[in-house]
Amino acid sequence: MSGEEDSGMYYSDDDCGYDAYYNYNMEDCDIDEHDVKDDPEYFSYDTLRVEEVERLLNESVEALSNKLCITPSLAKVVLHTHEWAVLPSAVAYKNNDWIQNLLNPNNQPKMEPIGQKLRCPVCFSPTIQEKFSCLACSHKFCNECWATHFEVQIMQGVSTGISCMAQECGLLAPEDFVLSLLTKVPLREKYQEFAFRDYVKSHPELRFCPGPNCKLVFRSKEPKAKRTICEQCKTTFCFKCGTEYHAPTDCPTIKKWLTKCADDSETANYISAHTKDCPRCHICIEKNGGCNHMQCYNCKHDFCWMCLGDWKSHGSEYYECSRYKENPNIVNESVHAQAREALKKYLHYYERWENHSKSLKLEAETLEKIKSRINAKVMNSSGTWIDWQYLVDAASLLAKCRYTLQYTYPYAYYLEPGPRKELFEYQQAQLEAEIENLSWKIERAETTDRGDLENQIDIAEKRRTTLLKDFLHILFCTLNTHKVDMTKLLGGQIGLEDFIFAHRKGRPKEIEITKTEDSLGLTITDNGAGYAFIKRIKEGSIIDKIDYIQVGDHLEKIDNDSVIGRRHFEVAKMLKEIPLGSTFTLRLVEPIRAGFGNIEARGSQKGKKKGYGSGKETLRFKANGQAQIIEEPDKEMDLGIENINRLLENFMGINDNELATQIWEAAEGKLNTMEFAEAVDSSDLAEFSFTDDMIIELWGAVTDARAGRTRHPS
Amino acid sequence: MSGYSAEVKVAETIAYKMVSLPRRIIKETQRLLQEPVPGISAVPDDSNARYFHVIVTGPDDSPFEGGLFRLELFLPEDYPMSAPKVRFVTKIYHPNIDRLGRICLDILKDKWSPALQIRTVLLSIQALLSAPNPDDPLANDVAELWKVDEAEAIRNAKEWTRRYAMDN
Repeated sequence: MSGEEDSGMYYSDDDCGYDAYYNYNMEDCDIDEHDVKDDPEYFSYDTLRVEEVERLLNESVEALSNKLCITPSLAKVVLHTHEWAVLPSAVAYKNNDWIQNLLNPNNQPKMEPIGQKLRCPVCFSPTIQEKFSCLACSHKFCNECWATHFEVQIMQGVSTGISCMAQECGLLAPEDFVLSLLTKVPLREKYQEFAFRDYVKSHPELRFCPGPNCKLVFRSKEPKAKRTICEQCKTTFCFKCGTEYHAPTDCPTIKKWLTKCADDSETANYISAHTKDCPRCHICIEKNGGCNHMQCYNCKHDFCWMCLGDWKSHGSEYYECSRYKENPNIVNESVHAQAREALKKYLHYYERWENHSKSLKLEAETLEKIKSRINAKVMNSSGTWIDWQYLVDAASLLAKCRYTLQYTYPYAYYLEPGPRKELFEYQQAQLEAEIENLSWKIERAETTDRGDLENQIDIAEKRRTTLLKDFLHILFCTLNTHKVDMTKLLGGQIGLEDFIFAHRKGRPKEIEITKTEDSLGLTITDNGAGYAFIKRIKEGSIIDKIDYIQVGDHLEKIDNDSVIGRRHFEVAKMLKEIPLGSTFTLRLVEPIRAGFGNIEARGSQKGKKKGYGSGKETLRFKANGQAQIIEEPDKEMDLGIENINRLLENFMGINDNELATQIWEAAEGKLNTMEFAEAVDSSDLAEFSFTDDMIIELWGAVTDARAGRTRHPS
Repeated sequence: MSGYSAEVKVAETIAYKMVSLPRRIIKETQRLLQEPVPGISAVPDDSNARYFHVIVTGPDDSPFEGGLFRLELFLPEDYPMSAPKVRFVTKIYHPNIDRLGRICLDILKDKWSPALQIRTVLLSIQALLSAPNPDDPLANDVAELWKVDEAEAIRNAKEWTRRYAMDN
């Protein structure tokens, strides 16, 4: 499925439809555009060394100082206080609103003259006038006091924040002023180091590598909570908040979660012991691998380490071990019981979070073991390095998947109960099931078939990206229809038979509307999780006349008030209360439109893409579950299958394209009835024990089709 | 004999301390003693010239009227580049002063300027007694009552003043 389509299908039963030709002409709909931007974890950033960062900062400094004809030092101060944006800095400087109390005559410290000298208002020492200095605010102090002031500030870690010494004067001291008065070399160095740190921290596009002793700086024009990897120290972190990468959980949530864990972890550690008893024979088992699919070494019972349930129930759609079941009657319980329930809920998520973290470590050991085993094997000449590479790939992918899985738990913990959470936990469970499968197979890599393992790698990675992609981009889901039909909005429970179609976020739009009539003509609905949508638009109403607003649009803001988190009736009320005649702005987000909105004429393709086939191939799903690209069925074949099918119906009362195709294929390249009969007998068609008469009739159907004749059963 | 030598030692210590004292502190101390601020007395400790015994009179027309509040004030090593440390020793019922006598006052923290002096700091503290600010509280329970029931809070403050800041 192409990432550019509006809807992905989540809840599909794979056991249907394999007996049909799935005829998609690859050139026409241009699937599988390998666009990196479609990868939910794609993030573009540059790695910079200190010199490169300085060059980058200096470019801005130069631009501003040239523009305003001010010293580079002063330009630096202004830029630093305005997130390094040259234009806003220039405007702020011209308007003088970048500093407060620039010249506040009331705050001018007393300068008592003593003979030829002046008394410094800080140290009270009489000093000659030449030894006084001041900033643009004209607050004069002796040079010695300035120096001491700087020293004290720097020792406290302050650098760019050093201001004038006068009371209530917040004027910042530029670099050149500080360095002209500060004499101690170690402090000058410290000052420059601290200032550089401040500049990088105040620059919205720059981040220091959080790795210990790593001096690299990263730059991204679009700072987002995405995975960043330091090429030097290999530290992986979130670009936005600098902590460990935490998708799909967002920055504030992960912070909340980690703080909570730091507070409560002792209790949780106490409760989640390192060993558990086998649920069947009760022998004590220590977990020494990452996989949660446990097999008791004593009684060979297969069970789940997490829930201690039978593993059999974990392979299917009903894998629910990752899902926390909320006690529905909790509201009526006592405070004590509520507290216990809250702890139980937290422990549920914490145990899983912690368990996956432990599994990650154990699997790192497994990887080491695999590497040494591969080494031994290669040395014994059983296979070459490249032959065994797939095992290393599998193990590193496992780590990647489990890492994401670990970070799904804080997200789920803070998700409000509702359809969104249900869907998330469903996907989480799917991912978890595949990961445990993969882990199990890797631990038993020597007995697992390579194809099987590679297949599992693929499935796990797909689940992972699906989960990441969806929860970053889903706008709403509909039940059993891919259309933007707001009466089918997923809002409550999902039935086992239901298909869910997710609609991804499209472009946001802001529309100014003047309320010329009492009624806008909107019917609002919501998904029960704080998102309001347009359900219906009354014909001929104000809204109906605005083409940009359509059914399915999500209402995000009315003027500057966010309506996220509000119920549909509240939103409707807010719209109703807008006075007649006034103008307001609606901010909407539309779903990516369905249908053929995303395709274009063939001619506009930049050249012919290789590997997409001639357009005369088709994908065929075989009965054994495999898929194969085959030649597009030509007329001859169509006719043959039609002929065969007619015969089958006549002789056996069945009409089966799959069977008919198989028979047609058996006849391929055969020259006479005997060869055909042999081919049928040596294939799994032999099971049908066709009579000789039938074989002859079938051969007749084949030859007729080859000659372009339609054959009617005699 | 031993008593005499001890006395000499103390005297020497004080002399040494006075010598090492910055001109700024000496000047400020002299001025505080020669031209005291009305309602405020600040006297340096005999053994440490950076430590001051302070007494602030409760301002008129405030719940602290008639009280004598004892404070301690210490000038740190890098004074005046760093703010002095000030604390109430007498118990006081005030939204910006906690049980330990710590004071929530901007000029003692981020708004400190080396151009400020002991005199100005103490004047600010006296002003704080006249104008409590329950919106920027240090003692939460006091501030809460001050906002909800000011009359009751003022009664408490008067009661505490009578109990802890009078008769000695």
